[in-house]
Amino acid sequence: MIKLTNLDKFIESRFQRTFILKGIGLDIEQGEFITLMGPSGVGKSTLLNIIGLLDEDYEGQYSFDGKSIASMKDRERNALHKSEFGYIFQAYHLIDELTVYENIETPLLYRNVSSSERKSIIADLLDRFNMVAKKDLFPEQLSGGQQQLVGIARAIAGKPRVLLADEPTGNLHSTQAKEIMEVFKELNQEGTTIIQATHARENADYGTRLIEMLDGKIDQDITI
Amino acid sequence: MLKNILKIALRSFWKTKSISIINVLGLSLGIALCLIITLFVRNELSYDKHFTNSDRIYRVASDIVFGGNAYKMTFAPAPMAEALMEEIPEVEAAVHFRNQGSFLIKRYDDNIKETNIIFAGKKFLEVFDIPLVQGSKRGALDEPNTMLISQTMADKFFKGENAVGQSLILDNASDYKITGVYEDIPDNTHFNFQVLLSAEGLDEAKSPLWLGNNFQTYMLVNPGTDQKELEQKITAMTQKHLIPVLKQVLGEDFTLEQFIASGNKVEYFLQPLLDIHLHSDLMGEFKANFSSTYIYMFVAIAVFILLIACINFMNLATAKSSNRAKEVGVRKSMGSGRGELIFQFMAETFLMSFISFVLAIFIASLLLPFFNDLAGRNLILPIGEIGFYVGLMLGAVSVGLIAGIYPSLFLSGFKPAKVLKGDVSNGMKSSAVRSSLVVFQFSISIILIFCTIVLFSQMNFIQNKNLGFNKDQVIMVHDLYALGSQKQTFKQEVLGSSLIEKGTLSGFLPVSGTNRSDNPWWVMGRDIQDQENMVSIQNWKVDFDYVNTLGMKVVQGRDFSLDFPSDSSAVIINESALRNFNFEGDPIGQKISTFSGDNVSGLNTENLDAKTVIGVVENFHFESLKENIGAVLMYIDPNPTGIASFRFKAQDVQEVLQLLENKWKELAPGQPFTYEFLDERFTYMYASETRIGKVFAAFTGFAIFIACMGLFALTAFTAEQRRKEIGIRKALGASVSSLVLLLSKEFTKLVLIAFVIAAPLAWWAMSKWLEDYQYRIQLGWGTFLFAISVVMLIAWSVMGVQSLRAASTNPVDSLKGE
Repeated sequence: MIKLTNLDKFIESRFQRTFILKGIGLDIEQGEFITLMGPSGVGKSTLLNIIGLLDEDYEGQYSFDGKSIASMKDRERNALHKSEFGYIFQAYHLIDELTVYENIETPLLYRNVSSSERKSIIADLLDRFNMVAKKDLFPEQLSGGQQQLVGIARAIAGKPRVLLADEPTGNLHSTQAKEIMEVFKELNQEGTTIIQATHARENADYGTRLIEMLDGKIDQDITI
Repeated sequence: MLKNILKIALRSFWKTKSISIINVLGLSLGIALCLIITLFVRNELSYDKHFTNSDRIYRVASDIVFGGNAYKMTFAPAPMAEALMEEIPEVEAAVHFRNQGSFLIKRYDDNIKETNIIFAGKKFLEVFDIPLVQGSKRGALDEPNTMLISQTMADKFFKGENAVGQSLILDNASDYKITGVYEDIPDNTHFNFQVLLSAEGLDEAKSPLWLGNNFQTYMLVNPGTDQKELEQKITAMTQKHLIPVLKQVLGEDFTLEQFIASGNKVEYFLQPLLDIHLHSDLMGEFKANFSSTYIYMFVAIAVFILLIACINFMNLATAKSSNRAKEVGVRKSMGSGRGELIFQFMAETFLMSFISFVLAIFIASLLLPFFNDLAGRNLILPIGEIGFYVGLMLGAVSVGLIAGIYPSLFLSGFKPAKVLKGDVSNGMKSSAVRSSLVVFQFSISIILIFCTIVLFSQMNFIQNKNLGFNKDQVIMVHDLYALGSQKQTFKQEVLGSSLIEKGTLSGFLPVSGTNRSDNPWWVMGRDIQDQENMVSIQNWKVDFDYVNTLGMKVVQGRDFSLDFPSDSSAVIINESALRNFNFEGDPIGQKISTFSGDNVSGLNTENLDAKTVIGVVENFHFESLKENIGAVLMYIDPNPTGIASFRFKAQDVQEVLQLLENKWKELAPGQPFTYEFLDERFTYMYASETRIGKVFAAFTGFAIFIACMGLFALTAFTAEQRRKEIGIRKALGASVSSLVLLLSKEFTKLVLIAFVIAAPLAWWAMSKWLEDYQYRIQLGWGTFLFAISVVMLIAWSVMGVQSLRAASTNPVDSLKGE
């Protein structure tokens, strides 16, 4: 589904290029659960951002479903972005001014989902994550784990095929982290492709494939 | 989607409420002020437009240079109106006015003093289409001793009765019959007549003499008449009438060419009715007119104020960007395009803009009475007009656009990959755009402060200038004619009191609104055919105590004195006159002559009057300080009329008033006692400037206030954003004072840049304005230093509070987060 060939990302300074990613080649199939591992600064997040179309400043080939991203028009790329990707962040990044319900609703608004449909989708999600009672609370009134659940609910509300998670458990303690990973596993079993970046070894156990990165390159690629 | 946007807008507004409220209030205040200025300017531009044929009405004004004096007046000769109708086919109707000051009016016993009263020609209603409430337009002013009165006057004297056909008594003597009652003349008219007396009964109005100029003359012309051509025809016509008269006065070998060659001229020009209020400032205006320069000034202020308010909005919106950066990132990661974000932020700005406009209407309605008071106008919010709301909507949309475009472009441009990592530095430090906006605000503030200071210094200079007479502690009692033969008794009895130092009876005083009379004189024996010998000069009838009472300074010769019986044919001249006469040798004792007779019955060129110069007084200002001091001569009037002026001792003014009023009531029972202080009258001469000055100062104050509100909020944000930096610096050992300095440094730099931009502009603008004044202050660096100090002081005190607060926080608090 996702194919990266010879992907470079670098920062140009006056005298030299500093590579963040160098010669990345990666094939990702539908339904995989991939864990990107490696120490800080190795380029995991950058790679996620590029896959998630948040960063277009790179060299090399990236094609999605066999179509080259570079050859797409802005509008196609936007449509792809909207319909195929969902994001989960380490710091949750919920919108502080919106309630739990409204946060989950936001991506649906961008997808022009009708009002009644939105209601049923959100109701299902709240039900699934046992958050019905909290739907009118604001993010700051929730615990970290709960916030991240809302983050996940928001990310999957639009039924994306690919879920991108950048250190999803980085700010959580182990019990909460486990809970989140169980949710991921469940989602993966339902057919969602998941790519997570993490440096917690235990998270990798939930995935189907482990990619270890070192200095902007892929060091090991193990199928579990 | 829109609901979502509105929710976010309101909740983020509420999250930073103190700053948001400052922001919206600043914008509302700015809009309210703009609204008021717009109403004001609209009113000024609407003057006289309500007359049906306003675009076809002209006033004949005169441009006369004679004997070294130049006059630009609203006056034309008495026969002008009649001649225009008879000799120029384009003229449909012409009317002339003669102002003879105030009258006492009564129906039965009690007199009321009416100042807005005028003699008008019979074609008045044909030229100025004023609707009549009662009576018929036909022949309304045809007969002598008839009059038209306004609705207000009719209500005053004939409440609930039909006024037409009734009579009123003027000055206890003449009966005038009312032939009609007209609708009150709207405020936005360049005259305000309450009573129109038929000029048919006025001898002066029938005078065939083309030499005197005493009548304001207006005419209605055919559609399509060309002003330039008409002016030429009128010039030709007046020359035809004038030359024979000038020949009679100046001798048979008078020629126009020679007259013009010696620097004289008598020309008449036309002023379109619609130009009068904004473009005419001649001698003899009915009301203090406005000036188009001031219109531009006010429009500029309105634009400035609005810009300042919009800039606040922009600056705060972009400064707040760090708070919104995450939201932008999240939304983008969820697939929102830039367009949708721009839409969102614009929608927020529009919402604020509309809220501000609603608030602005309330603020404007609160401020309007104060403005009316300051500006001497009667403006109301046109709440009933649809156009008002359409205008407001357009305003709200354009303010939204101006204030919203930059922040929404700025905010929507954030890179999600960056901001979601917590890197919002591009929103933190002051951007170049924001700095230049702040510089712009400061520049405007400095310009406005500078202009205000110069305006006030000039006004102050006028108030305190050595005028050549002492205007303080003098009270003027008007309408001496009411005393009949008791005038001298009144003066003597008042002088008997220990409260009064000196007193004089004379209608001629060195303030506007008192008598003036101009006649040519020459040094006796000189050839009057040579027009350079003729001196056009003010002829003031005074009494023996005049020079003394007004505190004028005799620089040569002596004052009038009862000890010299010959003083009845003596004159005292001022220094300008001394220069114009150009005496050979000592002027004291020399004789000067003029024609006997007066403007009404015609000048008698056979008989000459001669008087001896006994003294010269220092030049004194008797017209506005915008003019040079003209020539004046004073001679003794055996039977003075007009005004009694008394110099009183600096004690309780109420006592003085009581004394005068008691004496007045004793000697002139039933007559209204009207008085005025000389210095107040003097101040009144600059009323329009003083008014403009006050209004200008008020608006400047508001503009600076709004700018400060923005600065306050902005520094609060910068301090907030640099909390971490401040914490680190403190942890490393920085002192509070060094931190305050660090935070203030940036803004101080901006103020200095603003000063460099503002100074030349302000200098240029105010030099232009001062050119209007013959007597004016010098622009100095002091004013600039003062202006920049004020701005600096305000900026520092606003920033200082914020900086101090930021610098005094415990570094642990600011370093702990995340």
